Amino acid sequence: MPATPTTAEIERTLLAEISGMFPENPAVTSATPLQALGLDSLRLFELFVLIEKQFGLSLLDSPLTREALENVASLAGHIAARLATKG
Amino acid sequence: MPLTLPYRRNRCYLTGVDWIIGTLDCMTRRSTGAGNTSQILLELEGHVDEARLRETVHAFASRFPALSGQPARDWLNLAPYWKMDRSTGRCTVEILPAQSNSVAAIATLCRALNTPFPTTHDHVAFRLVQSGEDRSFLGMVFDHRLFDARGAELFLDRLAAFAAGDATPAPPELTRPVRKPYLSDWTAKFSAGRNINRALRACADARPACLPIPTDRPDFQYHFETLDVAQSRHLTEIAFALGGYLVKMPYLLALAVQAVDHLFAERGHTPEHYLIPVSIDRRSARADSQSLFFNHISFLHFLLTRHDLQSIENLVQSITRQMYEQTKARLPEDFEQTLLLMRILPVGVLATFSQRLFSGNFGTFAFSYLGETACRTRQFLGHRVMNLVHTPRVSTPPGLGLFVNEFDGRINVTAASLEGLLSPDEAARLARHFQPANAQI
Repeated sequence: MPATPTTAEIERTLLAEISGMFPENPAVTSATPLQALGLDSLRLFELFVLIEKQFGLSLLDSPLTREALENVASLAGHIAARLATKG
Repeated sequence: MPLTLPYRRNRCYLTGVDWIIGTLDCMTRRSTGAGNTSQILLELEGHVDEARLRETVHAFASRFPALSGQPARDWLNLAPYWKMDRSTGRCTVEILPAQSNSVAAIATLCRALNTPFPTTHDHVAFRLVQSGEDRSFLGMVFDHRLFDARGAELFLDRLAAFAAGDATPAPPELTRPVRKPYLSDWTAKFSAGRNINRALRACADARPACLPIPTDRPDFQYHFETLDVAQSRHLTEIAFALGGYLVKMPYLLALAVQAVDHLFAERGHTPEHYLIPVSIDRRSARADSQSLFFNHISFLHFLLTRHDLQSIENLVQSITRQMYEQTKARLPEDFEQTLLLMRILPVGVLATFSQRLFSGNFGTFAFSYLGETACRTRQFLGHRVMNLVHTPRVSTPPGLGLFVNEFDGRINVTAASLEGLLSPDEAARLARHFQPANAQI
């Protein structure tokens, strides 16, 4: 069974995906607010699909809070915590 | 390195989505006498100088040969393309009679939207109405074959910058876009076609509710609702609470479905299924957010049942689930691929074929959520932009649509419908349903 990814690994994956979604905003960092990027429902769901494929975690079961979706770092932390609970 | 014949290097081949938009244009023309056009309506503070408007628009438009093109077919590879055989582009500018108030001014512009463009080379018109309340209303009417809603906003933004003195010429890929004919990877196209066929058949089998299209070539009527900043924020908070942070579209669509369901109920109907085609912007996914011309959209389809309509929570949950499943199954991408196969048919034939295939039922109503406007400027010809609203002629059928956009944190709702399909009062109630006081929470 593959090892559970670390928060840093999740963060790198998310950052690469989000940077690809907004190629004209090269300054995307882990601390960039996701709302300011213009992440809408559709892009967010594309991100959720990636998360499900990469980490086997569905984020549709319970709506994500503002805190979890503040930026890439907080989303990575949220995913890591959910994966840890999932065991 | 692929070999490109010299004469093809300057051609802008149309995508399958462009071709299907052309088909919708043909169907709408047959039903209503005018094509699948739309309008961005700007509310401006003060009275706009009419001569300056004409001069600015004509000077700006001349830079874009694409504005005066028309569809043609390459008889060697049979792919359709946008023929740009004129060295400059043009937009018409019309000054309509002044009106005493804003309501009358908007009504004048919306009525004018039912008039077709004068020639096949005209695809954009600017219409100005001065209003008695120290306001001007400017309508940018555009042919959907040339612009999608976001592209038209970006064009308007560039025009505003030009009017403000920005003389930087637009790059050639914007003024005279060039695109390949998309004639490779046929296996992927047919595989995508199989997926789309399955998805659409499932929708058609449900026999979704639709309203009968009036047969007397009706005009479109429009009703608007602009929420103030506090109301818009309130609606957004409800959307986030029900769907999750940043997930706004499902709640707005749920409100639209509720509003239409109330309308059917008032007419004594309780349909089992509603089908809503939703156009989605694909620009950032393709890394070409500067693209002005043609259609950079795809579609999602939502099939909602009586069970979903039991509560707003059920509706949001069902829409969210369907949206996720379609994204996961890559249906928007498959739509783009599948529609490329349709380009072989002339739009007239494709229109007739589609009508028969779906028995004239293309869904209950059209819906689109554009989000915050891409038109960043808040000044146009030195006048403050007070609001920006979209008034599309909905492709017919279904001839009914609800459209939501945002301007400076305010949510605008437009209910567009054929006259005779809905009474003015019914159409107004659809838009009013988005008021937080009316929306079921």
